Amino acid sequence: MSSITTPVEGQDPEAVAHAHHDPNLRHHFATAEQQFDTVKIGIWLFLATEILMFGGLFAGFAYMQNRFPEAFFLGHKHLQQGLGTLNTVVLLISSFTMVMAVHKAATNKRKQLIVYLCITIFCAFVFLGVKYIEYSTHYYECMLPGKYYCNPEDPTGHQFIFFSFYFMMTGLHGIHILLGIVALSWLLRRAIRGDFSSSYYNPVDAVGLYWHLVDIIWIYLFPLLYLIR
Amino acid sequence: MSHNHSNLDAPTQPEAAELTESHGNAGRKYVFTLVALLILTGITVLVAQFDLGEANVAAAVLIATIKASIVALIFMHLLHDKPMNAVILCTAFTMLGLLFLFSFMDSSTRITPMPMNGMAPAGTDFNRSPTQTEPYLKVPPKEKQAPIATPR
Repeated sequence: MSSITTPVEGQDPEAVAHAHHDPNLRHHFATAEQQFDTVKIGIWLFLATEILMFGGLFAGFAYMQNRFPEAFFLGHKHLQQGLGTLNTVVLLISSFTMVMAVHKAATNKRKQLIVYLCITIFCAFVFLGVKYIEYSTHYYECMLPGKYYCNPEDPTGHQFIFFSFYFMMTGLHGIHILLGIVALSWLLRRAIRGDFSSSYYNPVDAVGLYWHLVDIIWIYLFPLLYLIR
Repeated sequence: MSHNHSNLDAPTQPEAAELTESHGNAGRKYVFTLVALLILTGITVLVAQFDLGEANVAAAVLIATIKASIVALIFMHLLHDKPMNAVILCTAFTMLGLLFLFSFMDSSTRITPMPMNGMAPAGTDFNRSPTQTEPYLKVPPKEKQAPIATPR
């Protein structure tokens, strides 16, 4: 590269290209506000597809619950309501800490942003830990999905359907929690590096929206799986 | 709520402006929201302890919807956001409603449901030949009714 395009030897060409404006503002956006709104619309469209993906499972659940109300009632008796409630509380708290993280990012409070992100990640791990306890209980009682169901106590003969839905829905939700932990850790790394400020916190906001949707899905899963009669 | 007016002036980062202005209030607002959500969770668990028949599922879904709306409006900022994002969310839920509507129109109007236990329905003729055109189920033929005499 010639010295005309790089005035100082060894300077990052990326930095030169963005020297005349905020490096966080991409070239195809006119203003930071436009970029912010575009990112948001993109995330909301992604969340819409998430709603439809889980919605298919909910529709199937509703249909089968209507068909086999007794099997579903007896099946849900094997879930531990206390652990389900605990997980709901943990997720709600993590949603709160996430929105506080977005708020702190928007108001230039880097240290508090890091603290709130750490609490959110911690809550996500607690959620998965509780889920592990529940799953292992079902595993030892052999209440597994589909053809793997082998618990002798099954007066209706259809409890395997309930557990198929239970594992599919909570499993897919758990995968979302895992991906959320990955995204939150990425945010944490960038926050420690000091990438975010009140003029640029799109990633925190986007991951926050995703995290709240995962919370909303659990808000529906919890009463339908653990509390139905 | 002065930030409602400032949003109309279109600052570079609307949400940032809103959050900075109501800095002290925002944290408190989120704490109240969390408390409301926890109370609603308690109510859901409480309601589920009573046998209300069909109303149990309705109550559970209703409370869950209230909670989800609170999360969407306050935690996800839809209340003070550009309406486009709310439109996207509502579209997703409308499509979901269609899925539920048509699934139930189908399932509630079926006469002979498929057995779910892998067993054939009672009366299935397993020995029928593939070329046979009669239905699987052996239904006893109806007796021929005598034509009803029309009164003069």
